[in-house]
Amino acid sequence: MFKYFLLLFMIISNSFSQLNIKFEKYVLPNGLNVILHEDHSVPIVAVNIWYHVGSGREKVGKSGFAHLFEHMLFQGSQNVEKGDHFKLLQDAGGTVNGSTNTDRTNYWEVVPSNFLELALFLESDRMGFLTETMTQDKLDNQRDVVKNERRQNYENQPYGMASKVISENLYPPDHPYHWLTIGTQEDLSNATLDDVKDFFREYYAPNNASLCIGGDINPKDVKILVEKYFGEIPSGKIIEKVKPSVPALTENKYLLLEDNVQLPRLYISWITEPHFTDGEPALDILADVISRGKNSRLYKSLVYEKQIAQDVMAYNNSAEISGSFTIVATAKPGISLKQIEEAIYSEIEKIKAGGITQRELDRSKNELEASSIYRLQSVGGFGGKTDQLNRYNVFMGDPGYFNKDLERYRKVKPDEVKNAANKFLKQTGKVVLSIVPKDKKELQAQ
Amino acid sequence: MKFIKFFLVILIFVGTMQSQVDRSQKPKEGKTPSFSLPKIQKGVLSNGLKLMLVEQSELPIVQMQFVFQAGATYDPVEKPGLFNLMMRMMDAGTKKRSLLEISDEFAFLGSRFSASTNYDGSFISVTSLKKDLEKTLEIAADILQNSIFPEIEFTRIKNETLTGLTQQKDRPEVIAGKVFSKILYGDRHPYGNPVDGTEESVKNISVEDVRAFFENYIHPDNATLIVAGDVKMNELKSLLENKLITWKNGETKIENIPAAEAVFVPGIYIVDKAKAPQSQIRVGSIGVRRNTPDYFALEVMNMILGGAFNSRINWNLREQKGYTYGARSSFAYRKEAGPFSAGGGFKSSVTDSCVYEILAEIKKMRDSDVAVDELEFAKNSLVRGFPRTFETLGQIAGYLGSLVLYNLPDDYYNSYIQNIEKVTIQDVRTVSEKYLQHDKMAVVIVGDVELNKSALEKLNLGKVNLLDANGKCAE
Repeated sequence: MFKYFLLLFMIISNSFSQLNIKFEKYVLPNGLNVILHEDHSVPIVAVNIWYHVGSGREKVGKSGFAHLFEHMLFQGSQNVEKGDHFKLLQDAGGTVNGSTNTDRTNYWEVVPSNFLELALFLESDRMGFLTETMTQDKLDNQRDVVKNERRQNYENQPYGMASKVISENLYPPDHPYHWLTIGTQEDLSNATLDDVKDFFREYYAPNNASLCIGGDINPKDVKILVEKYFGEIPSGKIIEKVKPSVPALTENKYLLLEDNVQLPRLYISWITEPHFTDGEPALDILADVISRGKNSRLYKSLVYEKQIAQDVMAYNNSAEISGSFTIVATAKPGISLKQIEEAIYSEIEKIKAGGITQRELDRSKNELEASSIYRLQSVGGFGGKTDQLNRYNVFMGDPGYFNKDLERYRKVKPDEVKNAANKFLKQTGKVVLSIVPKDKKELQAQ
Repeated sequence: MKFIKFFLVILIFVGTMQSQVDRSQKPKEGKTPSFSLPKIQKGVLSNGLKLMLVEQSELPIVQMQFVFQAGATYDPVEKPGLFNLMMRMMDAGTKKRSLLEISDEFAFLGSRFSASTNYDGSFISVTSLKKDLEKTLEIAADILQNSIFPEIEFTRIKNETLTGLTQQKDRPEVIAGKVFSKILYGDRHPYGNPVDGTEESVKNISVEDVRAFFENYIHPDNATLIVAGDVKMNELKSLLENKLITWKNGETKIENIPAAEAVFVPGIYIVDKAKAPQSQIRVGSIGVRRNTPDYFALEVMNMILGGAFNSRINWNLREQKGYTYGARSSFAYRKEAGPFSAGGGFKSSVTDSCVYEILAEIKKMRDSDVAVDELEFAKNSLVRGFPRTFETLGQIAGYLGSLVLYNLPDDYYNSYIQNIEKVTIQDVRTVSEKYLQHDKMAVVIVGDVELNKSALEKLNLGKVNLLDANGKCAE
């Protein structure tokens, strides 16, 4: 989730306009979007592919599918044995990964530039020639792996179930953001081989994918290879775009979880807006002003001055069909979440009434601009330049959206941040979750 | 749109698609691209501060790291966590600036400042855009020369550290790591103490301790400044001479870290986490120091055993058995011998099988030669992957940092590829026999005792000891 937050600001300031990520985009007859970016500083090539499908496309009772499917893509295809996808790329000195969120699934490899063809062969083989090689054994194995992933990152982590409870309460049961991308143990158990194959046929077609190749490349040669390996893969059916679906939350939902934790933690969540909407930049800056750095409003008040909280953070998570704004604070020993909750509202009310200062706004913008430059160092991997180009292409249809996006943040005025606080962080219409140590219910909020 | 329709029609007639490309042969690699290591420039300031610079003007960024040759191993016996606390307080206030002013000024420039410590050394990292280098250095220099460690900030940060230590009890992977170190090194060696100390030891630390440590250790003669990015040596030098005019040398002699001897009792050590869905497991022993001549053979060996996704341990426990989300092995190379450990998080109900399988993989590595293709895979992976690890300024600074910290020659990495390529099957076997003594290992588990104790006893790996989260006997 936080990775995404960083990804929002990947643009380059005007004063560094020479740093703009140069690219070339074209579309194959089968609908595959191809983006090429040259960077010869190190003899490596990054291959990054986005499929425009995430857990937001799942049906009720089939949660966790998009992500389980991501695992299946590493299990070999018609011309690649199980294990060989990793083995061949690691033997090449490459590095490999993939991830799934509510809206998209991405896969990438970074290899020495003389192994580009291998990477394209592997990506195309699993796009075009996968279903026949999906076996029950592979599915059972990866289902177990994913269940362990869930145990490791959710069930056996302190406060690990918070995001699940919050999503279930922000969104109604038929909304695709109601469940987590990791899914439930029960739905994972019920996944069948046919389900997996259907999902593949539906969403893993070239017309639903964006392939970005960056690094030490010669575009002329790369185009020939892309045509060779991807050109013959047929289009799938046309996939309708998801439509924004922003639920209205009209009441306050106070929730309580007891967990194996030492300290109570409070989560407050509001519904906001999808990404690339008008409200998004002001919401992101609002999150910054209240929780980034020691001078931020909530840190300074709760952690530094009053010392009632061990930590505090806030983030606006605007995604493809909806968005939410969340504040999280951990209470110091002996402090109740009621006290934390009141201290948070008191700071929010100050912004709603008095707005933010020019210095706060400028500090936030400067940090965002500097971060966007620091992030240009990697050509591949999560958040690298190829990932950034694909993100803008998939969601905005324009890999070169950088400057327009930055401009959205640059032009934010102090009043817009104040207005965003008033519009979205409402007194009524939020989810307030208390997670307290076992038998410490008295520490909950409300 | 026309094209899409065309392909849909084809799809209906063809049914299952046949590839027109010969996919039975994997593409062969092209000519190996040339790669040269970044050039290291060296310099010394008039106060004795050593400089190492890799100039790179691709992006207008400068990344700096002060590496100090002293870390948590210098904590007094009764005060583990002191070095860490001192570094955490590094930006807590100077004669000119308060904590909040420092934070605000760095943030306003979009610059990053962080200070940290590990067993072997301490680090102050500063990153800025080229255009703000001077202003950023001005604040960093103020911190190095004028820090006062205000009492009020000390009390607050110490309290925050103590609360953080309390919270660590919630995280089984943290407990597993700390207890593992405690079992291997005990109280006999500083590597047995956590870098951030314990609740008990941090309580003992006073603001005078912190100020004295700063006085003793944070000096130019004890430091090297590593710089990577868009700046020239003469520009950097004159900026630093100008800003660090009052940064003077100290008198403390940095002593060597004592050698670590393996005197722990092999066996199973388990910390109870009732009803935990997973067990965190660490299997291992005391490994070897960073500057061992066996380093390259060990890198190759560990790549085969558990250093990567396709290594034996992960292949067996994840991709074959589905017991885990990921299992790895590694050597923590330090100034003295850090631990070798293998493990990860595993489904609770198969805890005993996982311990058995990990030890079996370790034993197999020791008892038999690796296959030719395994050796080639491991060497290829390291050699071909080498250039990729010099992409970012942080990666470059990291390489320079290890040269400094472990006293390796400047041209050390020039022969890295040759040294990996020289490793033979016999070399792998030799280091396996030397460092993988499977019958003398400690097994640390954080998991459900009731579910697992009797099954673990049946493994016949010695006594199953119950411990608390601090690694103390809980029976």
